Amino acid sequence: MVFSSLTFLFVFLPVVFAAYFLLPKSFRNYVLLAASVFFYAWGEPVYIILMVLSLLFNYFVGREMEEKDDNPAARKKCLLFALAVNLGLLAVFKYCTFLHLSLPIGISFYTFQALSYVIDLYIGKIRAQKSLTAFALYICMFPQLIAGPIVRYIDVEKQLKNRTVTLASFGSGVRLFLVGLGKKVLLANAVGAVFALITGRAASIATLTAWVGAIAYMLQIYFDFSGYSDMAIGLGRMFGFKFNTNFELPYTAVTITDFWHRWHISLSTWFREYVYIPLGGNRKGVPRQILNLLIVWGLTGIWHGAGLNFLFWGLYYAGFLILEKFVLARFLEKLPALLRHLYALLIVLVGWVFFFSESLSGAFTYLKSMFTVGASGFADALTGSSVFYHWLLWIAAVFACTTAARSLRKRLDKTRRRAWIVNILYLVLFFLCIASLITESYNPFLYFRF
Amino acid sequence: MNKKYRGSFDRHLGILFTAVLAVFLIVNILVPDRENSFTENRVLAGLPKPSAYTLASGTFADDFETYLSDQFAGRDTFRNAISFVRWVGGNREEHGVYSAPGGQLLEALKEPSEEVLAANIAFLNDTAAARSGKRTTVLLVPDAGAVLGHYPAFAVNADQAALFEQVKEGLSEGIGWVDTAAALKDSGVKKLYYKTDHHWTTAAAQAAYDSYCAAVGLTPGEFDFYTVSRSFNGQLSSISGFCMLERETIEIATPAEEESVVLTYTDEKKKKATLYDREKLTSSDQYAVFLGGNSSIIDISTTAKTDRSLLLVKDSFANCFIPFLTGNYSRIVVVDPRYVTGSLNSVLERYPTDDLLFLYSGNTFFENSISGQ
Repeated sequence: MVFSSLTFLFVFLPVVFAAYFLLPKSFRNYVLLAASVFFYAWGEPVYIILMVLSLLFNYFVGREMEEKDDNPAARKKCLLFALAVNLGLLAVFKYCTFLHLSLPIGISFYTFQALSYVIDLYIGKIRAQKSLTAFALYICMFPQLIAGPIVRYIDVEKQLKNRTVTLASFGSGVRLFLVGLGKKVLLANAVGAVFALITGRAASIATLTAWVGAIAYMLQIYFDFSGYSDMAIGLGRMFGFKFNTNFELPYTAVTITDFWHRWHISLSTWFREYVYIPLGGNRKGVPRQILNLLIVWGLTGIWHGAGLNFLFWGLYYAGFLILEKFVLARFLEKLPALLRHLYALLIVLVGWVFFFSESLSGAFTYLKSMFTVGASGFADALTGSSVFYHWLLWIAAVFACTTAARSLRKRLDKTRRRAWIVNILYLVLFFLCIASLITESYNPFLYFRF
Repeated sequence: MNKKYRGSFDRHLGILFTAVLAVFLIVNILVPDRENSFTENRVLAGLPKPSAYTLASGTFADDFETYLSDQFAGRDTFRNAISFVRWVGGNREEHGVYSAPGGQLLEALKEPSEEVLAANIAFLNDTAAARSGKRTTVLLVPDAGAVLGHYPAFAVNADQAALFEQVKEGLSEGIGWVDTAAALKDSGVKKLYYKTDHHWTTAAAQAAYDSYCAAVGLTPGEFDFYTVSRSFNGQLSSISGFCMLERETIEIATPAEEESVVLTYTDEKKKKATLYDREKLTSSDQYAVFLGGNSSIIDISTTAKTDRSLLLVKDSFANCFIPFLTGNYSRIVVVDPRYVTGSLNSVLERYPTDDLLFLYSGNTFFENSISGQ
């Protein structure tokens, strides 16, 4: 099931709310767990078996590791076994494309969550979870199950046992959820339809149209993914969980380093904590640091998919991060802010071309239509219609990427007088989302593929 | 910020949100499901029946979402609202329908593939050749956009006038051609096309009829116009969601001199004594008031004082044109090849009438192979 569906909003959610808040408090973890299993099984019941096996495995590995507390060799064996099994499953289902298995939804996310548990347990940062219910809930809690954020066990350990929801914290969760729903349904789906229209053209694309298409995708993936994260964090809050921010206005970045501090923060944190730092990070000299960065970003690339274009996309960013760290940083600092923004946005935009293309050669073909004038010329009717038939959408989307949107929202949220007007605005937003969900056939979800 | 105040602000939103979810859950359960959508002119999805297979494969989940969306309380209102918001936001094209100034909806003018164009011209010539000695006329009706012109900026359209010229040039010697575009332009008729439907109006059809009579040497009759509907919202609206609130009138033309007709719907094996189906005026497709909509073969006998007969091969644009012909022919056989099953040629051979008329709108003629091959 996805959040941006009528089934979720108007059948699943009210029933879960009723069960969660009307039954005694001691039932809450059971209710959430049952709801999560149903959420996952709806529309894709077969792979639920895989998820249950994975969580049972990690639970028992955790218990085993805790029991072998005084035997470092045995603990290490446990860890290696757990790494092998978790990464092995991921490899089989995600990267053995020749097996033609469909990708189990959320496997990249829940496997990484399980790994954070096992590794932190090995390091001794946390204690093993004794309650199978609590552990199962950590792995498959429906708000972040299928598209993150990747929640580290250490961050929610206490909340799995004890958490409080007040009507006010519930309401603040609603606010975040509605913002996320609006990003996904009103912005991402709409710019996504423009992108699909432009790339759906078999013949060559006019130069300016290719730019419009790439920018449409750039906006679509941001609103799609960050909208989903907002909804997840908001839902978590409605049930008493506090998840960390996953997106921090990434398109306001002034460097690529800055961009990756703002984009999919839970994934970059994971790779930093469990790959980069264990490999030695920047503590073993410059050549080793460069190698570590290449490894981390190569892995980040292929985390998104088995295609070579994803590997290239990851290494492309490694290249710019290394360049910025050792060469560009001092030049960039001297540039005016506007130029630094443009630099970062251009690198990111070209990066998305590699990301959305089906293959590397497809990416270069698309880049060629962006940077040269081909058979379709510099601009055509499609350029005009894709810009001017959606002018309000473009303005709204670009605005929503900026700090201005955030400060407006903060100001609105702080409005003391006539606060009810702001609440009405949130309801209007909700009704527009419902209207779009009812009428639009175009409602894909990009991060489902990862 | 006042924390206590902020808290009550969030509390209100929490309550409002939960209330909206609960209200729609209950209303959706209580409001009975609809079978058809009047405004969208289509069958709506019903509650799917679960089976082991559909549950396991996920099709049940998809069907259930479609069901919820089709049967959602206030669906039409939501649809109108979002379509209006999108229109305000600049949207001028939806599912191939353009929203032109003045609330005029226009289909794009389609560019034919070379094969389709060649096949359709060959079909006209071959059919005419098979009936040597009989008179054949071709009447292509330009689509609204080709006559009214004012598309929104950046619309992509074929040059339909040039395409018509190409068809005319491709016709064999002896086949008559009616210049409908000129007839419509010179007619002085104010409203040639509906705003929310792709069809031409009855008044426009009369202008083309006069032109046809002049071309084949018939005397055009006198007609009185009556309004039969003031609540017409056409298919372009249904398809696009634009102008859903626009209501138009439909007129019918009846001969000044009283006459009677008998219509035999050959394949459906039924007879009627009227050219109009008034029941259709309360359906979602009111244009079907003419002849009751499209049928494969309709054999019309009239009380006209002549023994001339006509074979009319056509699309739906002919439906409001046919009533003008009943005073000029004692028998009119109407064939719509899109609905004919089996061999079209054997159907056409079955009716060796005096005259043959092809009446098509530009888009139908250019978009498909009209012989169905």
